[in-house]
Amino acid sequence: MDVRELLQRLPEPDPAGVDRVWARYRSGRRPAPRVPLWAPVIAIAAAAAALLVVNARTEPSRSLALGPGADAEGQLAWSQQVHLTLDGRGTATGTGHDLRIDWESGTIGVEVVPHSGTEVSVVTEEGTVHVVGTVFEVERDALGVTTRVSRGKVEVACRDGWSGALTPGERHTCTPLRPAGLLGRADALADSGAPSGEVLDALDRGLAQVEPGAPVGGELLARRIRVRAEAGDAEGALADADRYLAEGHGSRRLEVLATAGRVALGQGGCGAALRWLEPLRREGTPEDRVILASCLVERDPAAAAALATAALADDDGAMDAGWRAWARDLTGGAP
Amino acid sequence: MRRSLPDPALTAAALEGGQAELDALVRAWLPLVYAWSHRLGGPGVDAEGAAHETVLTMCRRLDRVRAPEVLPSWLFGICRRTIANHRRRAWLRRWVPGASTERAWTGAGPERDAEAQQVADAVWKVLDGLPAAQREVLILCELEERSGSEAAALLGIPLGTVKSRLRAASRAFRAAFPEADPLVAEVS
Repeated sequence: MDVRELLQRLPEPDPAGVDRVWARYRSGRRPAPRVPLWAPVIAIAAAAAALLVVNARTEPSRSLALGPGADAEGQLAWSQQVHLTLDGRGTATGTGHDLRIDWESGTIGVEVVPHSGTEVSVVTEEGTVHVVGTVFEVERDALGVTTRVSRGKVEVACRDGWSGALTPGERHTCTPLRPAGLLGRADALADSGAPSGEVLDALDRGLAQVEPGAPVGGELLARRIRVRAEAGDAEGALADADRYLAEGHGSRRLEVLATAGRVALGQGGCGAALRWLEPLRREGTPEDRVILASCLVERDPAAAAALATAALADDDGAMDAGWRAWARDLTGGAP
Repeated sequence: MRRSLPDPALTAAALEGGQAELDALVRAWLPLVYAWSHRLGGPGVDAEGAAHETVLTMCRRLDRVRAPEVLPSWLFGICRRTIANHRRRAWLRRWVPGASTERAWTGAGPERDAEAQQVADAVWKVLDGLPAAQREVLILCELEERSGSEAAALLGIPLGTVKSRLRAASRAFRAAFPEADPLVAEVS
């Protein structure tokens, strides 16, 4: 049996599901934001104004804000030698032959006429891209600052320690430096399905730099608990959960307890899980309380039944049919 | 299995038009979005919730789409991120003994149904163990029977990358299968 045949053994999506989603959409839809009719006019006017400014000014150095609603957006001919394609935000400062772009977010495409003696640098917190005559693109997003070269050669100097030259077809990402940036990188990597090692690397680097007690430290720890647990490192996850609570972080306390409770349950059963689950008796979600009830049912059936009954009463639809059935079993027939 | 992508003219109309055009766009894409949510999310993910969230995000951000041709890959990206969030939530349930997963129903009698379910469970398990990038190409190319170019356009990656990912995914899938469930070997 080949791969396709095996995949075709998967159940087809329930045809009625589409109708149910459609009904939910129809009942709760919100008007979509629209591009105002005047937006293209403004954009054209802004681009024209930027061009006029570029052409008319005679000062050796000038500065333009780049980005939606700023001095220039979309396309910008900075000079005859430098053309920019903008999908983000930043500032361009310099002359027709010497331009520095401080790039904050999004993607910028840069085309520099070769052999024109024009120098362009794109500067971000994570690193600097320096070129003389080439075509390249710099994208600053949660992963870091990625430089892609289409033509020519660019020198990249990252503040994370990497530096080198990129030639056409090559790319390099300078990673964020600060804990908050590394947290964003870890989230972006996790969302893209990157291996857990890469996600953990970003989290470890963030945690190595974080100031004691800083809120971002709690966020980094909360993420690492999840990633370690998903990677099968139950001990590491539980150690991080202990550290999270010991450091007094609060915003994800319930999530950390719930995750640690589940990890401990999977690793050592109810005996290991109860210390994490008990604090969720009042504050936890209905699902948390059902799990706690399942751990109490043997030694205190009445308490387990009360917890399961309360969980069912508090359920706002978050529990699926399987959970509700499990909770009903735990009530032991209590009303 | 294969479902054609909706006409880009619907996107163009929604970008220019009002609520009726937007509704028509949602209606046209919903079966695909729902199928992706179901297949990429697996049995632990609430496919209806993920599909609903995806189309709401599409409606909210449609003004960012600059040309109708880019909508498929843009929407697939939204769907992928939404499913990633749902998978994360679903992951918590894996630690819970007694939590149920959806069951396939073939309508061919209990014995046949149980057998089909065992194969489906094993396939889900192997898919779940693959990196997301490999899972996506397998679903698009093998299950939905899309061409390499169509998958490349949806994923926003070069055709060569689709082919290499597909080769790697097929190898990993085949390699994982005997361990996934020996019963499948008997069934097949």
